[in-house]
Amino acid sequence: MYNTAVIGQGLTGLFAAILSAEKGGKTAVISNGAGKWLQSSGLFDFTPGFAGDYDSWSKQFGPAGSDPKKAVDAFLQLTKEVGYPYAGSFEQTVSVVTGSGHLKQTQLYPPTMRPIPDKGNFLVVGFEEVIDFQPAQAAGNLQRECPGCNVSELKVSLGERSSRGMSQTDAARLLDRNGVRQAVIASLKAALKDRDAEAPDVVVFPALLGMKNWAEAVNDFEEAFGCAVTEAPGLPPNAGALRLYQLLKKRAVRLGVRFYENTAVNGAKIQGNRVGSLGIEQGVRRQNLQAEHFIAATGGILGSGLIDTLDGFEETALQLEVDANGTIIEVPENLYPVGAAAGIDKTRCGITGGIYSLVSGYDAVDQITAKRKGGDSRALTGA
Amino acid sequence: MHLQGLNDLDYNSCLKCNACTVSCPVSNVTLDFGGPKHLGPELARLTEQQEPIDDKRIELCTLCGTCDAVCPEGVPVSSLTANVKALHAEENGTKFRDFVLSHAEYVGKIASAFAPATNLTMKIKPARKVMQWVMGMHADRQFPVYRFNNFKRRYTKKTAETKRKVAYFTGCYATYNQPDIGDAFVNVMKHNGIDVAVPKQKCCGVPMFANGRMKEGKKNAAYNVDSLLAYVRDGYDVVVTCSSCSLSFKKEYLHYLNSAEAEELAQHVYDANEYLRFLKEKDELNEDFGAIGQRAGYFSPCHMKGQGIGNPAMDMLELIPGYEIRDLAADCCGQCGTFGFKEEKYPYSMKMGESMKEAVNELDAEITVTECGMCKTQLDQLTEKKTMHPIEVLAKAYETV
Repeated sequence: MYNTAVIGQGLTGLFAAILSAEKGGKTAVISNGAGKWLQSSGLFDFTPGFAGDYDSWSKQFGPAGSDPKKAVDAFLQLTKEVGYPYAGSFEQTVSVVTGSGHLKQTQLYPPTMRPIPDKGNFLVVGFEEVIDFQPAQAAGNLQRECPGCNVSELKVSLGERSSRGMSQTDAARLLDRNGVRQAVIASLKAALKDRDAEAPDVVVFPALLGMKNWAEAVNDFEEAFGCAVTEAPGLPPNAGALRLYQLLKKRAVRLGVRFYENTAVNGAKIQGNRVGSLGIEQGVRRQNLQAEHFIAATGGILGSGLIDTLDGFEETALQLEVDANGTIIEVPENLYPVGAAAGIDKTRCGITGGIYSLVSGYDAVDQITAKRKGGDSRALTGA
Repeated sequence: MHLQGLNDLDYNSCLKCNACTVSCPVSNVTLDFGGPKHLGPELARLTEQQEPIDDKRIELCTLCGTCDAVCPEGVPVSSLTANVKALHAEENGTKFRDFVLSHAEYVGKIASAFAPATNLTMKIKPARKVMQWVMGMHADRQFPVYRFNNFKRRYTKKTAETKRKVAYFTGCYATYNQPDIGDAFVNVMKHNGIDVAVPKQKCCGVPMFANGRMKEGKKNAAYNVDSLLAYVRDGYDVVVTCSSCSLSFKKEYLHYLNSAEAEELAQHVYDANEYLRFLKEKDELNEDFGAIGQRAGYFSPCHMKGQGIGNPAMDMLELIPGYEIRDLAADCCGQCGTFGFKEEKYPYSMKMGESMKEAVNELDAEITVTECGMCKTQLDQLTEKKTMHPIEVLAKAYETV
C-alpha cells in the first residue's frame, strides 16, 4: 500500500518522511509518541554534545560515503519553506549560550538563537514567573566562560498569572501577543533606566521569544534594545524545538503523509531478504502494514527502539537480531535503520540527532528513490 | 476509585518532560488549565498513597487525547485525567446543564420529536439568551439542527442477508441531527452489495465520560457491547460513521469496562472509511465512482487522529476522479463535544478554534470534509465553507455516473 513506511516521528523519522513524500513516494509514519523533539534544544550539533570539527566527527560517527552538504542543504531549504529558517553550516562551528549560561559549540541554529561574540556587553533577562531560568545563574556562568565580556542581569514580570508552573513555552505563547510584549518592553526599559550601565550588545532571553509570532517578538525586542537578542535554550520544553516540530509535522500532513499515532510496531513479516509487512498495534487491535521500503527511526535506547537486557540488546520494533552494539545483524534489503536505530556506536550518551540524523535520514530516502527509479520496486502503484 | 483497568495506572514512566502540556489544545490557549502533565501523571503519583485530591481545573480537560499521542513514554495521560474528571463530578455533582449535555440521546429524542419548534427556538437570540441564563449554554453558540424525520424513523432494518453483513452504529449525531449521513452510508454499502442492519444501541457514552458521569457512561458501554457483540458473533462487521463513537469502542470501552467482551468487540469495529479501505485491500471495493470536480480540505477530528489508522477518509476520497483533497493539518477545533456549548467554556472554545479557522482560510478549498458532527458545528460557526461527511461525498460519487 505504501512506498515507504517510517517507524518513529522524532527528528530523523519526520525529516525522512517529508523527504520521501516530496520525492512523490506514498509515505506512512507509525509512531508511539512524538519522539524526543520536545526534550531537545532546537540546536543542531554534528551529534548532540559533540564539540569538534567535521573531520573529527566524520571519523568517529559520520555515515560512510555520504555527503553531509546535500542533507544539510535540504534541511536548511525545508526550514526556510516552513517559515523557521535555520542558519549555519557543517563546515563552521559557532558558539551559542545555553539556559545555564554556559557556551556550547554547535552547527545549525534557528532564527531565534544567535551565535555569541567573544566580547561585548551582555544583558541576561529572566522573568519572575519562569522559574526554570535564573538570570543570576546564567549571567554568572556566562561571565566565567567569557572573560572578555561584561555580563549583567535583570528580572522582570510577564504580568500574567498562571494556574500551572509556567514553562518557557507558556511564556512564549504569551509573548505572541503584542500587548504582553509591549508591557514587558516597558518594564525592561524602566528597570534599565535606573542603571547607568552601557548599552548592551546582545540581550539573552530564555527560549520564549514568541511561539507562532517569533519573528515579531525578535523584531520588537531588537528594536527596543537597539541590538541583537538571542534565546538561551535550557530545560525542556524548549520553544525552538517545539516550533520546528509543529511546522515540520504540519508540512508532512499537508504533503499527504499518513500518520498512525498511538501505534506500536510489534514484529514484522520477513519474506526472504525483505520485510513484507509490519505488525502494528493500537491497544488490542493488531494489523499488518505493507510497504515497499521501511525506515526504522526508532530512536535506539532513548526512544525504546532498543532495550538493554541481561542477555544483551533487543530490538523492540521489528524484533530482528542485533549485535553487541544493538546494530541489526542481517538488515533486510528494504529496511533502512537510521538515527539511533543504527546502533549505539552511532550515538553519544544514547542519543543521536543534529546533523547525524539529517544525513542518515537523507541517505535512506536517497537510496530508496534510486531503487524506485531503477525499477526495482512496484513503486507508485499504491492507492 | 476503581473505575478503570489497572493498566491505566501506569504513570511511572512519566519523565515530566511536558510534551503533553505543550501539545494540549486547551493549555495552548489558557493558563487557567492545570494541564495534562499536572492533572494526569503528577496528580496520580502524588495521590497514590493518600486521599484523592479533587481539582476543579480538571473541568477544562476535553478528553481529546492529544496528550496520549505525543507522550514519548507511553503514559495513558487522558485515562488518568478521565479519572480526575470522574472524581470531580462525584465530589461536586454535575450541573443540570452538564446532565442534559451528556445525554445527547435523550435530548435528541425529545428535540427531534419537536424538531421544527426546537430548531426555530434555537435560532432566536432571546431564546438563546434565556438558555444561557437558565442553562449556562452560551447564547452565541450555534446549535446543530434536529430532524423530525430522524434516522431511527427512516431506517429500521435489524438484520442483513448478504455475504458481508454490516451492523451500523449510527451515533446520536447521525440519528437525530444529520440522518443524511446514515442514508449516505446505507447507499454506499448498497453500491458494494452489502446489507446494513442497525442493532439496538444507546449513545456511545463519550459525552458522559467527558462530563465525568462515568457510571452512566459505563452502563451505556455495557449495553452497546452486549448488543453489538451478538451481531459480531453472527458474522457482522460493526461499522461507525462518527469518529468519537468508533474511538470509544476501540479505546475507551477497554479502559472503562476492562472486560474480555469489550476486547472482543474492539477487534471488529471499523470507522466507515476504514471499512471501505479494508474492502479495497480485499479487492472487494466497488470503485465505480463518477467524477466530482471539487477541491476539498480534510479536517481530521482529534478522535480520528487518536485511532492510529492513518487517513482512511482521504484514502477513499482520493479514488474519486477529479476530486482533489488535502489535509488541512489543523489542530483541535475547540468544540470538543459538549465543551463548546457551555457558557464558561465558550471563550476558550473560540480561542481554540482560531488556528482551525486559519488553516481553513489558508488552504482555501471549496468545501471542508470531516467525520465529526461536533467539529462540523464549530466549522459551520467559524468558517464560510460548507462541511460534509466523507461518506456523503462517496455516496454522491457513486450516484454521479
